[in-house]
Amino acid sequence: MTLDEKLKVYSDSQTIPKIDEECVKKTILASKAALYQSELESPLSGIDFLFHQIRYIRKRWWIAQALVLLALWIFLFISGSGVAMQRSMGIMAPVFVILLLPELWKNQSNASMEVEAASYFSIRKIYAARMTLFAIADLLMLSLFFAVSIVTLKLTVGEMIIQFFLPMNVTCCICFRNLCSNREESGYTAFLMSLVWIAVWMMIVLQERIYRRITAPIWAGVIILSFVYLIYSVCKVWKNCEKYWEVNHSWN
Amino acid sequence: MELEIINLTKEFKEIIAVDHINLSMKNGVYGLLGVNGAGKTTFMRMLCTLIRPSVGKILCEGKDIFEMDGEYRKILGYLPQEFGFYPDFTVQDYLMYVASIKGIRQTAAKKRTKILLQQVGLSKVQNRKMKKLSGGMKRRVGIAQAMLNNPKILILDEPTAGLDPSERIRFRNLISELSQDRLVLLSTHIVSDIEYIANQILLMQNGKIFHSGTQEEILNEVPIRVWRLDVRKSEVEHWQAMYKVANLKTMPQGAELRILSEQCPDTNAKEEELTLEDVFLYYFGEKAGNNDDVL
Repeated sequence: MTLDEKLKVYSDSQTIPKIDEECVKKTILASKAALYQSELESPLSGIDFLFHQIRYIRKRWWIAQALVLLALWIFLFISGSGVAMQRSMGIMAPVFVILLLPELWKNQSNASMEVEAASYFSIRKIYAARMTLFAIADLLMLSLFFAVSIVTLKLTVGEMIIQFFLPMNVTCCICFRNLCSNREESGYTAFLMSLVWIAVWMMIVLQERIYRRITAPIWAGVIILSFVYLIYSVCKVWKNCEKYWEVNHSWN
Repeated sequence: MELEIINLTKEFKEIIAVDHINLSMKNGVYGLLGVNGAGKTTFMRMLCTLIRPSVGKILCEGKDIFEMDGEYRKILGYLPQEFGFYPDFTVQDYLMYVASIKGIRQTAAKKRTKILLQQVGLSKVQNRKMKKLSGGMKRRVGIAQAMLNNPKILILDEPTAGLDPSERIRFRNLISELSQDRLVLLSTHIVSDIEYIANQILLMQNGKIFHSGTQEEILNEVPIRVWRLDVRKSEVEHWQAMYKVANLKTMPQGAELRILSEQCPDTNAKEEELTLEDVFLYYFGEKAGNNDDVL
């Protein structure tokens, strides 16, 4: 027999199995159920959780922060003078941080902390995820702003650090320190204290005789101190967020 | 699933909110009954790891729940008394958010959200913002979020607070339906919430669980009987001073009193069937719901 004939004999001897449509459907459903069950049982990884949280942060505050930086750049481009630069940067830097307050405080202001604290990813991890995302976004925005400003506005790095970075850092310290507080009005306190800080900063930079007396080592010392205090405040938030119910909330 | 509570105590400054509770709970519905200020919420918060006890332990299948950490919360569902949410989220978005913090993967979360929305009767409003929902609908979203991870332990703190009677009945039926094969602990000061669905009732006062058992056991162990007595309106105050009056119904010809007493108060009194509400009044008295109990 030729090869073709052999193949024909072989194929004629084979029977096509009868496919039971019902069984196929059951198998598909069982596979889906098994996949669903395994998805339900294996939790999200830390990285997946972090990126899922991007979806639930209101982007309007990031857009507002970007607009603040854009407005600042435009003002600096138009005005150009040293005093105007100091004033505008000293005001806009705290405003940039204040725009974070609604998102940082939202679980306290909406009383959703209990549900969050009783979840697989604890309140500590939720705060950490939010702060990490804010840090990444703000770092990107500020890096772009600084790079563009240094090139287009001929600002020095020192001026950027003293006029923008320092007041921003102090405002962050105020916000995070208040975030540690268990008091319900801590968000408003942070906002008001930030406004007071803006006023204090303006008094310092606009009084020439005070401003001129602050030398570079003093600025450096203040910046380092503000950094250290910021790290301390962030750690305190991290440590205290799970003790929210320990003190002054209803224990009924 | 077994939860064992050993010598559980929580002190806030000079106040002992939970006072040396010892309890063992398995699958079934447990109704935690007590007035405002009894310590129910503090007790439940400890069960959900929101607060650490001052003394004592809570063991889940023999392991300390605070040491288990995320692994314990993976099997836990919690609906707090003050259920807060993000008002600008839609119902669907809110449940997907809670699913993400419960560690549920997106595909499973979508399917689970769909199933639960159908079960709580909110499929038609899944795209509505949370702030636009009625009180009853918000509570149903609350129970849905508690159920997202198909928990083995479900803790519901005053889940029917603020709901009208029809919503309360609906909620009760829903809880009854969801309580299959899991441990459900439901706290309330409304007796009817648990009267028909709880397998075991825990009575709590001043931080202690002073009595527990099935409804029949609790009714049988109370040393009082219930009497119905018709009196003149002028005599009502006299009877209230002499006996614990569970109910006063003003009628055109006088008043009908429901009196709790071991002995028959009057020859004209007729004995009635004791209910759980009578027991509640017997133990918690007229202070039930008094705001002075809340600090």
